[in-house]
Amino acid sequence: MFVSLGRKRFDLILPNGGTPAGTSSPASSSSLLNRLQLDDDIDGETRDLFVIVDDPKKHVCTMETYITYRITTKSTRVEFDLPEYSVRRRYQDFDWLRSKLEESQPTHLIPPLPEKFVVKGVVDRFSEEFVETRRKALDKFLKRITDHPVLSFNEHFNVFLTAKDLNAYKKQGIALLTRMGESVKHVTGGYKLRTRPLEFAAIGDYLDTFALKLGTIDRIAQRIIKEEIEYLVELREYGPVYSTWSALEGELAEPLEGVSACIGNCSTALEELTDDMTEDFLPVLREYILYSDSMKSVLKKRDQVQAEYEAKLEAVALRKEDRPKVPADVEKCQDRMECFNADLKADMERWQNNKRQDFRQLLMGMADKNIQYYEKIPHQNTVHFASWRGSRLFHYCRRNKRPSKFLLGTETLLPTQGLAPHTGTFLQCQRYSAGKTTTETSLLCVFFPPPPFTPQWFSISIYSMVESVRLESSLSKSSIPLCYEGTCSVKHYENLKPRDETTCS
Amino acid sequence: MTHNNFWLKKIEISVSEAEKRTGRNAMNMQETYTAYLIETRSVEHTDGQSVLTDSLWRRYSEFELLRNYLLVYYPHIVVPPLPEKRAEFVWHKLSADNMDPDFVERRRIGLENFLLRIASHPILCRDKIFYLFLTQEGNWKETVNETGFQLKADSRLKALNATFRVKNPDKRFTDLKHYSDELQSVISHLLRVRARVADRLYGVYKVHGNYGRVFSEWSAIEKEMGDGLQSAGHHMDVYASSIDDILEDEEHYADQLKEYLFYAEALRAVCRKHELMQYDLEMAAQDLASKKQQCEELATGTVRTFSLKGMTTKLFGQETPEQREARIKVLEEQINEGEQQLKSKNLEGSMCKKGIQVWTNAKECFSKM
Repeated sequence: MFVSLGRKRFDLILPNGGTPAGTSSPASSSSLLNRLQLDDDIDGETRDLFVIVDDPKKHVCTMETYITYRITTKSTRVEFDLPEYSVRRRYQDFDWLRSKLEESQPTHLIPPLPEKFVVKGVVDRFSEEFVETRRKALDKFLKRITDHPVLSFNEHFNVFLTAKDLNAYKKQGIALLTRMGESVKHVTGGYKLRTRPLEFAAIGDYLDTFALKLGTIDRIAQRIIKEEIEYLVELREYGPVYSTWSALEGELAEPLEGVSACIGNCSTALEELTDDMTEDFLPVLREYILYSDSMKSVLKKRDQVQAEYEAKLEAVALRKEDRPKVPADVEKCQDRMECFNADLKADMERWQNNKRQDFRQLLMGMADKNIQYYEKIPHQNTVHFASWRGSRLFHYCRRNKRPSKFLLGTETLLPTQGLAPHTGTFLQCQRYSAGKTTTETSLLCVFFPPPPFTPQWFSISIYSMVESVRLESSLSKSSIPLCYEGTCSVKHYENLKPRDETTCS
Repeated sequence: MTHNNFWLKKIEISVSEAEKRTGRNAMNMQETYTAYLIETRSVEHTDGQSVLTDSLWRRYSEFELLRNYLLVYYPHIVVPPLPEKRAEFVWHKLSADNMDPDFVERRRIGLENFLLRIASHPILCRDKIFYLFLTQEGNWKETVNETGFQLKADSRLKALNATFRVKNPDKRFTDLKHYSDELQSVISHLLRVRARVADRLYGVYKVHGNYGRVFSEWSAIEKEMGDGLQSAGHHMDVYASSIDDILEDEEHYADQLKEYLFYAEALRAVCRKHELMQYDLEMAAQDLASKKQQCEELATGTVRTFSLKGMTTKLFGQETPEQREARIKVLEEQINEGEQQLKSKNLEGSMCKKGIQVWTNAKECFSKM
């Protein structure tokens, strides 16, 4: 079945594209082989052709400025005289290749090229990012052709990869092109299709929805990037405000600087994330949107072939009485259609598999990038443990009931001024006696958060406390008491051990 | 004083509940307000006295009255600020409604802090009105008004323009004033930027929510990828809705900042009052000098009394600034200490965990595709 199909296609191609028999027959057999393999293993194909696109170079001529890309080919195939080739091609050449492929392999799904012009905004065509994105897309384009069991054996593709002077070859092809144009026109002649076979109708519907969904995802992704960039702008302003604040403070300066630096790190991480998304995520989405377009156009061509066949069949049916035998051209037409269908189905299957892998990779990449982003933030926070502690404290406190015990009076315990709002997980108390010049200041109670409580946490929390020493002199002498206050930091907080909560209440 | 003994006991203060109420105001108009339950509990004393629990309802305007009273009666003390009356520095999704339950809850916390701060202040905690505020439900307003603090306040406020006429400003106070001005501007800037940051963050998360929808729609047309997409979409929904909690938590952080902002304002108020006093002092000194001169010109017998008067004025003038400075130190400590906790950038902690969780889940889904 397959063999006969292959031969029939070969027959077909010859009058249309003038493809020499030499290149076409191995293509058919290899495609057959690959098609059979496809069912077993997606990646099971033996690779004997490797193409890389790299090293973009800018060319400035009197007439125009353009970019060329170096294409390096390594292959063990017999079609290639040398094991390695290296040529430079520009976008136009890729465009040429694609249209050639479309002409000579009308039954196959040709991978899409990146858009020729990027309309959105004024994009600098020669900017590094643009060229790099395009290089990647072109690389992908060639890789997809190389992986294709039929397309990779196309003669034009071979020339594209190997010819020193592609323009000479192009000119030579012009004569053929005019002829080609006619035959294409002939194919697309106005026959009307009655009904699409169910499976192709399903593919068509699928493609419509798929393109629609991808379009939406593309818009969402762009929107997210836009939002993230705006967020980034605000973050960039947020950080320096903390720096300004730190300039006002003494003891607090360091942690505030820490916060500022943290925010700085956050914004760097965020910037990386958006860059990655723009560079890796969006192009793949675009490629698939374009892909669905070329799928649709192939599908349309198939419909034309079927329509032609149906029309001819009808015409024959009318004259059936005269000649019982079905004429040869109708038979040929039927073959052509079947061949088309088989090719298309195989390509569709390939494409589905590719798509599945690509999206899996793509979406996992997206998830990975986001995870990395989130992992970066707390990691940098720990460097400034003061700020990290703050967040931990904060974290604890919101979960625990805060102690609201207050010890008031002159001869007993006084909590430090200004419990931090809704923290209150620890209280620092001082014992002092009125009328005495010396003041005993000690850490009397600490309300601990429930487990997990670690000694490390404790020392950190102590570190943050500012011990204030308060002397109250002779309350009785003056109606308005005089207060002197001073501060000193707890120095040897490492030696402090948590006391029982009972000692303080 | 009788209540002095009471304060020797240990006492717990908490604002434990908030309740929406409807009542009639002074104009006999229907109005809705929120009342807050204040619970006070004197803990058992060492000599074995009975435990005394007390609770009463107060509304925000009464807290305001208390603070106004304290402001007038203790001009040299930095009176702790109240939580904001109306939500300020809001980002667009945050409700600016005074009856919003989240807002009421945050205000409840703020009011509790306010009371605790006063209670922990060595001078303010001994105030009789404050004590009555905590213990006497009815007639409290009348008692406050009887003190006539409003009259005092009025006469004080009239002379605010003294600011520009002080001849010898005290450097300590100008520094302080400078600091509080700067602090205020920095923090309000910070709050503004934070609101914008919150807005943007909200946007980023919510747009991710669209993935949820598209993924599940897309999953309908896919075979092998369908399940993965479907559950990934679900995780995206979770991710998008997690932002509400994150930002609600962050609001508490903003409340702390706001407290410092209002503290800075309180600090400025004290500085203003100092300037006013300084001005009075300078005027008195000037007056004294001119009178002295007059007296010397007229005769030499009665000068002594004048100078004595001058001395006392001077003493008073000098004494209060010192006290104020002491207060201010307290305040700065308070601010410092509170700020230590602040180093939070707290959203990151829980946000990161959540973010990682969601994206890991999503990744798992994708890998199953």
